[in-house]
Amino acid sequence: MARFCHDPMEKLELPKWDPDPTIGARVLFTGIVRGETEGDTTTALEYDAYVPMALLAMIDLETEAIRRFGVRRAWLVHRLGRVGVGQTSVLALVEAGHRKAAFAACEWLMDEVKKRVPIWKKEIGPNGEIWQHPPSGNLTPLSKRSP
Amino acid sequence: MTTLGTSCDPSPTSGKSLLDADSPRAPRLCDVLFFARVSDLAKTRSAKIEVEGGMTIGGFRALLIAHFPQLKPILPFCALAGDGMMASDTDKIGDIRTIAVLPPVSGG
Repeated sequence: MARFCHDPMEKLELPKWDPDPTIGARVLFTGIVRGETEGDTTTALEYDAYVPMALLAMIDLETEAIRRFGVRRAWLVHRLGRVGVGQTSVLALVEAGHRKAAFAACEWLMDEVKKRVPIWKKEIGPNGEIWQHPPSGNLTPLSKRSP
Repeated sequence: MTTLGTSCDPSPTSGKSLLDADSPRAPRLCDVLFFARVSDLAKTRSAKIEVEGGMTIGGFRALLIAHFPQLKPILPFCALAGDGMMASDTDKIGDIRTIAVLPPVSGG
């Protein structure tokens, strides 16, 4: 089940799922903090989140990935707080019968995390700090959860 | 935590009846949460603002600007969530206890 992580994720243990003979592919994506983007230097990112709502949103995404892509398992973990360059900020793990579904589900999960989960990042660099609030990150009532 | 507006004490000793206090239109304090740039602008992570249950989320936006005028430029780009569920401007506040002000997200 999805979770947040306040400590470096490099030593995070992957879930010990029960063996499943129908699984033939595992895709693990880890997002790491980039130190340079189009010439701009980043020294760290700082993540903020509305944790209770974000956790529910990530669990919804895991469930939706399984339903939408027919994968067997999905897991999301996101860092909070300050994350240095080269450190892991987000992790998506998918297991499926075949690689195509696993890759597709993993990519979809990351796309949706950036659109549907109330998490925010602040870029910290030599010239100051700035919160990233892209127009593509507008949350709308269309993502309202069922009561 | 910033407290704005007059507190509504729902206890029987406050002089109000419980029925009045529980009325959806009775004024009460609502917890408001701020995040990221919105938190920086508000200069706080949370506030208590007096609301009435009959107020809409859209009406609450106007109330929020009255208390935090510095949020006016960013608020049109923010979603509001009531007790963890996305809310539209036509939704009534009703018995919502916590309203979160959510600027455009940027996780990952």
